[in-house]
Amino acid sequence: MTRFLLRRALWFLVTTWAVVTAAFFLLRAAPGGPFSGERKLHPSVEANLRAQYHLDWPLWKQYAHTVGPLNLDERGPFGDGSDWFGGVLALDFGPSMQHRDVTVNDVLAQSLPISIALGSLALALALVLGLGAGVASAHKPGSRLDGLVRAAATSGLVLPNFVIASLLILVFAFWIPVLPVAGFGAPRHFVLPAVALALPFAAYIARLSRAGLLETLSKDYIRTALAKGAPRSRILWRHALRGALAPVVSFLGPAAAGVLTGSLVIERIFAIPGAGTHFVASALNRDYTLAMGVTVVYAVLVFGFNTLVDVAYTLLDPRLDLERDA
Amino acid sequence: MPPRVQALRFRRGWAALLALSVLGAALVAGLSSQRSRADFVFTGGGEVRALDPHAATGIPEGRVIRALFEGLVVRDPQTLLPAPGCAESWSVSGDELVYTFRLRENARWSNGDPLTAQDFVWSWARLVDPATGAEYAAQLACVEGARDGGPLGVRALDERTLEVRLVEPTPRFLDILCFYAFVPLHRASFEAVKARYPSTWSTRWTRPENLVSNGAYTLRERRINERIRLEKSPHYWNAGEVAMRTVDMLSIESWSSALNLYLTGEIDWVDGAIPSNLVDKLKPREDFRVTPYLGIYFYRINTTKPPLDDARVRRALSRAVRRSEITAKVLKAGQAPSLSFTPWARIGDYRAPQLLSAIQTGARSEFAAAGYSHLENAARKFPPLEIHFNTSETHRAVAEVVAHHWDLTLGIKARLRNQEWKAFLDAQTNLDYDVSRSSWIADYADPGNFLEIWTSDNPNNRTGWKNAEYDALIASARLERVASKRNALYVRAERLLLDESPCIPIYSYVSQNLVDPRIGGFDDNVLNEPALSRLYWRDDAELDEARMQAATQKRRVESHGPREGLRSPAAERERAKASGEPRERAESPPPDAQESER
Amino acid sequence: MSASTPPTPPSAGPKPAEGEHGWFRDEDFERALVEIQRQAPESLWRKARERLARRASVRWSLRFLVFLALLSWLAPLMPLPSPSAIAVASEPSPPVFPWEVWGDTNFTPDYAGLGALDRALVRLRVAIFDDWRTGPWLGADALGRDLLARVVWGSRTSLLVALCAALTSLAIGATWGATAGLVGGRVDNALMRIVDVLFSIPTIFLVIFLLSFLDAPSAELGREPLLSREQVFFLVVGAVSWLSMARVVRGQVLELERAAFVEAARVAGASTFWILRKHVLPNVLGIAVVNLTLTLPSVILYEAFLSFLGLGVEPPKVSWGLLASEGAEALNPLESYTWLIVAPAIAMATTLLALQTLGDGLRDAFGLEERGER
Repeated sequence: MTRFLLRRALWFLVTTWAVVTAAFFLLRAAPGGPFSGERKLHPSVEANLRAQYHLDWPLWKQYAHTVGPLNLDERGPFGDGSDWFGGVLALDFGPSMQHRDVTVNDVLAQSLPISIALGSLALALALVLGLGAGVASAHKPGSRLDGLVRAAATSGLVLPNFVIASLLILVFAFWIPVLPVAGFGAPRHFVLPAVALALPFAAYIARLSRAGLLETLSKDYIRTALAKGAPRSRILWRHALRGALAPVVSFLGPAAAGVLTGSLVIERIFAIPGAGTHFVASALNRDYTLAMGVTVVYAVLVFGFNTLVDVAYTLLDPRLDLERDA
Repeated sequence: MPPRVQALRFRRGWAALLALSVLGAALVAGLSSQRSRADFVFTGGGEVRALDPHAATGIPEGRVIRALFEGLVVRDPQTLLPAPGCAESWSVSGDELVYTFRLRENARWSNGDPLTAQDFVWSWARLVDPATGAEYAAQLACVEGARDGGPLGVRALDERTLEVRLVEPTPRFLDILCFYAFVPLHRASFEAVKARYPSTWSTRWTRPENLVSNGAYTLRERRINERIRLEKSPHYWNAGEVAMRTVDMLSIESWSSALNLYLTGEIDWVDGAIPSNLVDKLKPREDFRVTPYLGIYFYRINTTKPPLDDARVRRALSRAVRRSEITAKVLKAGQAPSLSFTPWARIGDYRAPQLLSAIQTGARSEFAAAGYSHLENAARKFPPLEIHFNTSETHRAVAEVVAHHWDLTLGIKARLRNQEWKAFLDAQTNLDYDVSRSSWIADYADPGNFLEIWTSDNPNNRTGWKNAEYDALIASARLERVASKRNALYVRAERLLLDESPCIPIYSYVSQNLVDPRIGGFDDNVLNEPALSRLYWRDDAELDEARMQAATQKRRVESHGPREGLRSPAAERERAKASGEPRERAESPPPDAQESER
Repeated sequence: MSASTPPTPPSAGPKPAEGEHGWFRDEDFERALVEIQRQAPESLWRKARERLARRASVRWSLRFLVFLALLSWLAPLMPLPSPSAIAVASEPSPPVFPWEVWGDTNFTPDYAGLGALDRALVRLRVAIFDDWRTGPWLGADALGRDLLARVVWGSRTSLLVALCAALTSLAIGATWGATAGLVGGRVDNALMRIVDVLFSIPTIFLVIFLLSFLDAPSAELGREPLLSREQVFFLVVGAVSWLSMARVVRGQVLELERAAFVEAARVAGASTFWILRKHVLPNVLGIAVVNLTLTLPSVILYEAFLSFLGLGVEPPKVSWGLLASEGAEALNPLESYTWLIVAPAIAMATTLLALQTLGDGLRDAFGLEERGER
């Protein structure tokens, strides 16, 4: 296990480096820059701004400065040495180019917890709803309940989430005014967004767990247990579900990374100041530094959760050997 | 593996789920602050990108900075003329080259320090310092030393007297000074932050705990993409006249979300471009306020691409657009069709010349003169045009209608191409377009503000159009000190501009505000800059009176504000004196729904 | 970041085969031979077809999809109003039942932006129906455009985007995955690590980059760009959605290489090419087709997401995503123009439901399990 995790850590560094490099060049190659606007800046002002953010440096130097860990500007070891370390490797992304008096770290520190709160609620909700529906539907396959759950689960996957969110607002905020339409601050503000975010995932989990359960139920050891007269519901919950969880767990890895970094659509509709907005906004605004920050966060989460999933796999299925598989 | 261990491991799955929910719930609880609702909540224009007055540009930034800081002069929210701010008086020398300002004796910073003339000297020096990278530094170009980098012609004669020397007479100088970039900054606190954080001060000095300001409000809290909370400053010289003790500015990207929050009473003022299909629903309401706004919506024509290099073709394109159909049926809020580049065809005493009204035959004859025909089987077909715009529902709707008009009148098939904002700007700057959407908003009320962008070397020209005669007219108008002569020069310039038509003016903007009917002191003006410090809540009696006096009777809507109103301490005292009964609630919180948690 | 669709789970590296053949190695050789007979590639497809035909839901889905494809292809032939003709109204008009207003006779053909085939279809339509058109059965939007016509014409864009993007993703993904699986070793490792990296980049970055590059403006007035906006769009969506296809195909190839019947064939002296053609290709194709069917819905949803961001198709072209996001924008407490969102939502939901059902049916038919593609 240790060896597996070490190798993973190494791969993590390589992947993050590749992602950072790709994001760095992708955004800089796209037309437009952080300081273009409807009013064109005076050339001298723009030159000064570009100098402030080191956009006047040759690309390799900007890249080295972005990656870090040493600051290449006047603060670094080659300048006054007031702040030696910076860049991605020092987890210091520098000032945001759009929000000129805020650092990228500030932006992330304020928005990520909100997205994580919303995401973990949505994930928990999706698991409860999805597993519940999956088990209910596998209890008597082919029954009316099963059909209903399957239809509901499929319908969660056939509508864009902005449509789902709009319909939820229409029903629970306008027709039956029990929840706020949007906004952020009190716990009740989280309800509709969490539900809207959870529904597609719940649908997917329900499908996966149903299929997994049906497969496991046909296995010999379950048949033996059934033949011995153990109640079906007990077998479902205690024995079969465990075997059926593997696909759900493997789906949860990337899903969690996606959910926890926030959903732009849900955040925009419900006016929630989460991190999802910054993924699109930083790219659209050519906010190179903020874009680098969100990219690294995303890469870390994706990689971290995939590793977690692999570890969880061995817990669910002891036959798997991570050492060999790594 | 023994079954017991397996069961244990499986239980971990449930534990993880539980942990997940607990984490979510804990974070939700932690993030849900017990912050009470502000006295006044508003939104509009999206996220504030910078609070540093020298780094900021844009409308939402201006609103916050004007609440936090106060310049020498401020615009009177009703007339928009310069009125005393933290300068109580000023004098101008006979040659209009030396301005001397006298600061108020009781003008103070939010930490209690007195405001001095030295503060202005230092702040303006920082503004024009190239290292600051301030976009609006160029506006101070009329001050000695600003353009050539020599010593700046701004001196403190004593603690309370500031002298400004100009290089040339600048009739609009006081107007310019009203702009938020020219507010004073508190040097001591700024430099303290800079000393403490030598490398990251630029991202620290505008934080609530570090920012010292001299306006009606201080910065209490700033959360990116969420809200900015302002708190009334006790040291403001005119604090007695300020009613709202706390003000929240929310950042809400989606207009329908903002509207939903307004209708449920969580926001008191929404400023935004209202989806046109709602305008008809909102128009009869008393809380929907539409005011002319100094902004023009227009299309640029790329004059370097044949056949668009022919002025007759450009005029034909411009005249074929039926602007009134766009304003009446697409936009509907009261925007005015514009046949001049100056919005509303007038600014102050200036009366803009008009493009000949857009009758089809006129457009077709221009088109024919250029050698084209609108007929299907014409010998010389006009190549299909591309209308280039940045991604937005309104821009698309307008572009679709304009394309329709060109097809009807000139037989031109126009394609639409939208681009996301930055790529759009890049394409426009590089003249990678045929016809491109644009808008221009005034910084201050002056025709020069609009006409100057069409000079040959102006970076905002972006059409490839160059005209020496036009440049000369604008240059001489800029220096003309007699207002009527200056306006005459601008008229000649604008007529030339319309003749050459490097642009197609389409409509003049309106500001569309949804304001709670109980709000008083909300002044509608062409810059949509009501003064936050003048706002107050009316009580029932005053609300009824205001409704009776309204020029047009509109459908009444329910107010979500406090029924007994909320006034400034000074107004409260005056009322007490008038009614003879003392009222003791000037600074106590309003006891009603306003206090409900957010 | 795929914000509108649940991210497609990545599949891990070489996992021991757990499919139908996992038990094989412990059994005796005789049964293996029987199994090889049973699993002969030709019979795999035939059996799949048989199993598929047995399920009523799959049959209905297939019928619906064929009907929809025909409808969208023949949209110009339908007696519908023009989807882009503007009759600016003050507000969206609600649906009118067919028995109230059956039709009208004010259709004027608009050939702008149509290909040669579509022009011919429009001419045929004029010849058949003259200027008759259907009534506003689904209502109209604020610019007076008939919603029924827009939904039908929107299906063209949405289905075409889905199909092209899915085929692009199949082309890239299958090649990539098969190469990785067949060559193996270092190449496999490198290729799959690239996929890992691409998975870790928020897709929206790629989309913006690709859109801005491929959608460069034409230098001369009136010259058609090299690629139309839709073609660019197809490519972009396809280019960001091939990753999971690559993983799935590689996993299947690896599984097959170790599978007992392939080993048996190899032992029996079959050439590599023969094994590829007879065993690997049909099996991989099966899983690829299943994955393709399941990629289609996610591409349609992704198109909707991009439309929500305003990065979608260009007017006068119209897509379901565009209609749905316009409809969602129009919802508000003062006046909810519900039909504007309900019509595209129903169109989208039924199509995606049919695609899902078909995908599920195909998967069952090929005897694949629903698991997180791991």
